[in-house]
Amino acid sequence: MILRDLLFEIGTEEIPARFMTWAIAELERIAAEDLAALRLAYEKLTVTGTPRRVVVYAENVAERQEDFEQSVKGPPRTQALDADGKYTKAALGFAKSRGVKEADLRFEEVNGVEYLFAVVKEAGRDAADLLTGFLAGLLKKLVFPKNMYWKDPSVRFARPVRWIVALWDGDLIPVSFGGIASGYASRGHRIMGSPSVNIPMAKDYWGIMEREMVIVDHNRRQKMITSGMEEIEKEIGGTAERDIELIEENAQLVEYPVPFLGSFEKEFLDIPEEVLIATMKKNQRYFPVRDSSGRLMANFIGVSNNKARDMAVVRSGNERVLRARLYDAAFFWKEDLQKPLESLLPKLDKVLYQERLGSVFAKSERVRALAARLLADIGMTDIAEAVDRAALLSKADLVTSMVFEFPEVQGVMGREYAKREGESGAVANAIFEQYLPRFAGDELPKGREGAIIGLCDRIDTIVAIHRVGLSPSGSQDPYGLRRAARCINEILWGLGLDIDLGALFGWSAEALDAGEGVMEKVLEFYRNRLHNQLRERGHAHGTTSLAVASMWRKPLQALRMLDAFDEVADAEWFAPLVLSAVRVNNILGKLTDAEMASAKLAPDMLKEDAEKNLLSALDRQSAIVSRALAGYDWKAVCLALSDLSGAISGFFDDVMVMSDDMGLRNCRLALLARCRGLFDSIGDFSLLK
Amino acid sequence: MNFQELIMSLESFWTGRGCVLQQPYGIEVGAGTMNPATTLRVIGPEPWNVAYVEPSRRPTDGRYGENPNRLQHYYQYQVILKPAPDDIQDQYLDSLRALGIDPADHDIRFVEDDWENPTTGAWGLGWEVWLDGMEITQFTYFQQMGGVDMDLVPGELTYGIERIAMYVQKVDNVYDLEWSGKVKYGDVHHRSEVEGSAYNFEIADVDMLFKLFGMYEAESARILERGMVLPAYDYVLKCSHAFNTLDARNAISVTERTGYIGRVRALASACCKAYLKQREDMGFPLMGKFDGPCRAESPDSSLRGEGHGGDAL
Repeated sequence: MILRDLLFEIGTEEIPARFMTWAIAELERIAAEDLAALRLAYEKLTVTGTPRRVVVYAENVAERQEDFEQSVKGPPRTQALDADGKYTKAALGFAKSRGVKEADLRFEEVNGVEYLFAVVKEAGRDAADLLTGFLAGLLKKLVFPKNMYWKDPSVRFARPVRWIVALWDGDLIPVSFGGIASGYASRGHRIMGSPSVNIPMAKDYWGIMEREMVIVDHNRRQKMITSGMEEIEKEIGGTAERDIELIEENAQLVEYPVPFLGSFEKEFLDIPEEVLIATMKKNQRYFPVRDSSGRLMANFIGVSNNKARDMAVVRSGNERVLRARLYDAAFFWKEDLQKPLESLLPKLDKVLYQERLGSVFAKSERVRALAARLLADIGMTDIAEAVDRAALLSKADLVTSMVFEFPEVQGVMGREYAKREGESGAVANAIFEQYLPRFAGDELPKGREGAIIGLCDRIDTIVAIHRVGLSPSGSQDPYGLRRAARCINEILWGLGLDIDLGALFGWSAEALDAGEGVMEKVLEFYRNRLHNQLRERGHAHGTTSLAVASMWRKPLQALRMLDAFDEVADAEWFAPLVLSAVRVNNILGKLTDAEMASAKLAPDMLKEDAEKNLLSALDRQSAIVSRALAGYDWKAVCLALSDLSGAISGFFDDVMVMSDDMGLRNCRLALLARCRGLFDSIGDFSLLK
Repeated sequence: MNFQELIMSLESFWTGRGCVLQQPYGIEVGAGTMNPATTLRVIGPEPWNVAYVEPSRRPTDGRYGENPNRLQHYYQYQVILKPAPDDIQDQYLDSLRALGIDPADHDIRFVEDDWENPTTGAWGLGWEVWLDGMEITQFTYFQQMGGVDMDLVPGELTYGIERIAMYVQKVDNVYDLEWSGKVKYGDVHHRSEVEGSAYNFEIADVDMLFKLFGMYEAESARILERGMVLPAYDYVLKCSHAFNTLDARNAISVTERTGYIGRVRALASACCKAYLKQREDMGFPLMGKFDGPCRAESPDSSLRGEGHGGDAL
């Protein structure tokens, strides 16, 4: 079999960097699928690209399609043969429709019935005859998230397509798109390469492109960026953050990366570093650099798309731009400092949170009241004053110039402005920490003040958004309620805050005038989130259901209960404990309320050893269970309950509960009811079955 | 190269590429795109190549003449090439060479920046062009204007000429730009920045502006009904500027904003549709007038952002 290389280069104007990673993966998927469907064997498929070209390269592709044989099912034998055992009209029609001769018909059994099958054979075609269709299909199927037309409204791509190279070794594969026909002519780097360059053979492509100063492989460009960064780091004794997304983005903004070092005036380091970083990364796609002690240096690393005749020109140009931007940031910083956060509150009251929920300030006031109530309730009064102050100012930085310019530094600016206005460290930090954690794996609030405000803010968000009927559904969660619920739990668990969310949700509902129907949805939403989150931590479905049902109000205890289960689940006494609890439940579950009401314990009536035994076990263990419960020591509670297992199993073995003697029956039921009362301190054990 | 030489170089370059040179429009606009030479001319099947300077007013961007990079009144150099020629990017790079900016000495890039103007129901896809990290041009392929799909996709190039001049002259403060001889940009415009900022932020009569907005809007609608498409569009521009000044005065709440923008958009869209009809009735008189050796058509800058934070120069 002769093997050839296939080159397909779609030449474009600059495609947005943010699409390229996606487009490469998408095109690779489509190309692999289509090649498989075409039965074209190949050794290696490479899909890559630069801002100006998307490239598909298949190495050692078979010159011919693989042969094809397939059995196609037809009518059952009873309809395929007539009384003489000859093919019926139906059978012959079937053969004709499949283009096969009688010799290629056979019977096969399917689920006990014999059917006529046609064996369809197709000889592999020349790959060259299939490639035009294959490449045209790629162009059609690669639909970017955002497309445009430039001539023909029916021809769309991320940016205009300007040339196409399609080669089968050295043969041209004819394909066209939007009036552009494929040819041998590619283009080099816009500045460092030739405006037009011929690719005589597919395999020459990579070498020619490299001479044309185009590094087609995006992975290689990324490596060039990181190795360039390393050299610069050595030179200045600093470290640039390896922000992988920023590296990817930079790699997709250039055809030939030239990392370079720049610097700015040290005075700008007085501005909070988050602002400097946002300016460098977001506006300019620069990499900020830190010194060995982690402090931001007055340097940055940029990536040029041109090895300019004098890189100092590029460097100083970039420095000018950054200087202008930092000058702006310094201006906002100075301007904001003249307006204390508290003076911004009237302005904040004009910023709408949600149409039916009033202003952002109104929300922060609800949060303030909720936090005050919570702290009074749990007796955490030592931080009440700081929380009150921080909650009042919590969202004020939203209307500062700096946050208007850089929304991502909300919270950071609140903290920095608060510090400089003489607010206490606790207040200032709380204004920042209320947003923690900001993303999966982010740090948690260090202070309780920020944690409490963040908690109350998210509770308010969940209730408020449900209140106006915007509960999340499917992939729709515009107010980020799922994330809010997740953060609530992470904070409670991470800081070990044993807070009753049932009460907190209830108070929030009062403040928002949310009715019972709304609250049912809120709590169902919350419990589902809690369940999911606990499952993600690796807890089993059954134990999680039990813990959520019993302890959702106190998520910290739900988690501790599960941790205790994990510890004891394999202990030899645990299974008997579950069994006992379930047996007790099974019997009591069948009784009516009236029967239960008449179940009374009269110790004198007990006759059997087993029942006396159970009573004394109950008397003994009740106190132990209570003590363990008071300390939320779930392992001790389980252990204490497990001490009943023996007595219960003896009871079931030796005693007939449903005795005809109603007095005795009630007495025995009462014993079991006491057992259940104790088991219920954990929850419904039957969920573990 | 002083400021006016820079403008003259662009004028001369684009004249050579077959553009009609127009002059700034006589009504306040937020960007060159709003000039009817762009907004209206890009509609329909007629070719159109034009270049002009446009004073652009962004009341919220005023900084009282204290910020070296931000102005409430600055200049754009606007080029429309309709339809956009295949080599429009190369033509654009050539125009930089004409300004003495040789791409071989710099890092010039096309960085995604799509454009949308909700007040005119317009959008397009394109880039901001970076010169050594500085955005110097907005480059947009229009897709829709006034809610109307483009028959011929125009390329729009909007040069931020103060920025380019600052780069070329190696000046860090816009007011230090040499305009001509000893006359600096600050001599020409500093006082108007100080007063303009004070007026826009503090002095403008809010009640009057609201009244004017209503009057302009009513007049636009009234005369459009009587077939006065171009005058009606002039009143759309006046509406839009009144809105921008009210915005700078903080007189429009977030909730009201959408409503006002929607009112301007409705008028602008009506004008665009009426314009298309009018040209059709006239038999598309520009057909065939841009053929010949100068096939260039280039994109111009985008009217970016409703002003506030964006890149002012």
